[in-house]
Amino acid sequence: MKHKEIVLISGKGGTGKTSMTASLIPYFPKLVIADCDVDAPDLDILLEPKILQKEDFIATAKAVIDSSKCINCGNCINVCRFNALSPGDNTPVVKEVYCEGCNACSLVCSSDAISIAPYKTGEIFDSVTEFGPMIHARLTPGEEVSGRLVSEVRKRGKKKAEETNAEVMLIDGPPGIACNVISSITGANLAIIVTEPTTSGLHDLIRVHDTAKKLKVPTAVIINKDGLSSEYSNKIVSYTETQGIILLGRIPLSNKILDSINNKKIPSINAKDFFISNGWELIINNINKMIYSS
Amino acid sequence: MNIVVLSGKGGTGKTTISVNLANIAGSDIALLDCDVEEPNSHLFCNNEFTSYEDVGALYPVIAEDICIHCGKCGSFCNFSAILCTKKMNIVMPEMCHDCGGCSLVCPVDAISYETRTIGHIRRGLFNQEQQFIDGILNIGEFSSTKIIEKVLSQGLDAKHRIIDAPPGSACAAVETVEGADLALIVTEPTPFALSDMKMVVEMLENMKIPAAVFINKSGADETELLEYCKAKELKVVGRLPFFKEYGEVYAKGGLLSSEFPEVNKLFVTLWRDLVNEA
Amino acid sequence: MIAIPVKDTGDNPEVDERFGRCAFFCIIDDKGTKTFIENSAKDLSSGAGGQAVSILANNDVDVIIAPHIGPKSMTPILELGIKVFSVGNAKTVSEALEGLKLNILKAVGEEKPGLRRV
Repeated sequence: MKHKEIVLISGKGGTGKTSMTASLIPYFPKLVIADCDVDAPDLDILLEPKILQKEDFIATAKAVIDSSKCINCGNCINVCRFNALSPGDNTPVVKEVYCEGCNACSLVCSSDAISIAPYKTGEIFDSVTEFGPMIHARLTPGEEVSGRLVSEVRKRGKKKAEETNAEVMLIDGPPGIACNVISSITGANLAIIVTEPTTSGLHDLIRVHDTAKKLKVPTAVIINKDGLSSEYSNKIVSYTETQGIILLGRIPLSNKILDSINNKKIPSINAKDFFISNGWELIINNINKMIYSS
Repeated sequence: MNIVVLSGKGGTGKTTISVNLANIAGSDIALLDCDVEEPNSHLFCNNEFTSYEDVGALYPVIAEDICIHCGKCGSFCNFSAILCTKKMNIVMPEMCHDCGGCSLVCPVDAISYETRTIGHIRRGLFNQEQQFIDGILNIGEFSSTKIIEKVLSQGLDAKHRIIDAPPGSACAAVETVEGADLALIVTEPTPFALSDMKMVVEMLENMKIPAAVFINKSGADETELLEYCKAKELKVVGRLPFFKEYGEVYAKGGLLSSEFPEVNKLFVTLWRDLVNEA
Repeated sequence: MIAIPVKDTGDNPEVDERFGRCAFFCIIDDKGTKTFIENSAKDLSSGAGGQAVSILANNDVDVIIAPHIGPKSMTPILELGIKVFSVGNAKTVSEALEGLKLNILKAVGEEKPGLRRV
């Protein structure tokens, strides 16, 4: 049977997405783990994966100027819409961070000195943890292709799930609502939005839920740090009711999760009693119901 | 002077630090919220926005009566925004990076550009006099850099600009940090925050932007964090402990520097140090 | 003409999970004759799906049977009026064609998440 994909997102950063992802892990025995938060990957800190294979990820190409051919005419500087080329002493200087590899510069080059060469934009890791295989990645800081790196992580996660006959692929998603989030959730069986009862948490929950709705991904909500503001908890609850989103559960604000993270332990193992007494098993049951009903 | 507040990890308190600095920094400043995927600074501001401006992105339009179907634009486009088929040309506006190359390769000048709206910016006042500008990316759009660019073109007449950056260390963060005089990295004493902060520091080093560190939610063991800061010669310019009362005020969109005298003092000192630092 | 993404050439090749980055397309004409075209879009760094669609369109394909087609590929597919069927449980080209004949394949189209058009 084909595996199910569960992705955790939040809109706002810091609501506890990674803590919740990690806490779900022990409850899914036939699992593949994928960390799609590629410009801030943290799941490895708790899981200490053993890296089996590391591979460069080359998704973009960037301009390279051959100084032996360049006559420093400046045409490339003028045509570039990304300010990736600036005047230099012998040849213009390419600022790789800004170059999008569009190739317009080589089109106008008067001495055929510019080529577009493949460029390393991150690394992908194929690893194992005590809970199952894990695919994770790290974007080279400053790179723009996090959406594509995310797609690649998911693709490899899928393949791994097929090879190992996994039942579930659990994905730690990125914050925000743009390309990397879209790549993380498109086609998933369930997107769990981890929110917090604050004005920012609610504001961002609505935006990320709209994004998931637009992509027709089924959603559910977990309120983390419950107790911070009963006013905002109530607002979130009534938002889920009017939108018909399933509220999986509420995890109280507690030092127990923070302490687990600081000790680099999975919160639902390290503070098992706390999770169980706050309905964690019921949350797991409801997640299972949702993914197997779709 | 441009001070950009950023973090790597989301939720460390970028917005808290930005809005509270703006709150005490005097009248001749502008607060810019560049976290256009999830802008939150406005939630801490009681004033309504007074003006809005759409932000557009260009995309090619092919004049079918002029086009000779040579396919050059389609094979040039590295982003597959133009697909040339026997039957018709298909333009996918959201794939276009607006490089202008397709009109350069077109032998018959059949390509022009039109604008589509991808989001907007909003202007208002933060307290009474301080300029406040934020940007919003439309739901379903892939790229926020054009909106960030537009936000950053605002408030240039202010003496100082406080810029709230998006989380992470990818393109949106790079776009925001470009041209900053000082980056204030907001972190917290957790292994997650440290790991994410390292990626931001790497980005700032590549871009040669000076940086300082602010430790939010302080109270836990900072040994690892301080060792890293020392190794990277990053100065710790302030700390804000976590108390549930602070969290409650934040949750409702309140300003800690207005509610708690000790926090007010902390931000006044921080602002003075930052201005001296830059 | 019907197109199916496949992993290999041969008599009854296995269907490729990927659309834009599949190895080959198996093209089946009205008489049931199979030909194979290499998917030259598969190594593109971006937009492979869209380019793959244009390759198929230029080979007069009007029906695609595939396991999964991404939203970026669906836009030009709908524009070109190409019909898409989900491969369902079929693992090979023969099974997929059989499914189409028996009318048990699910048509995909409007309910697919597409990119916003202007």
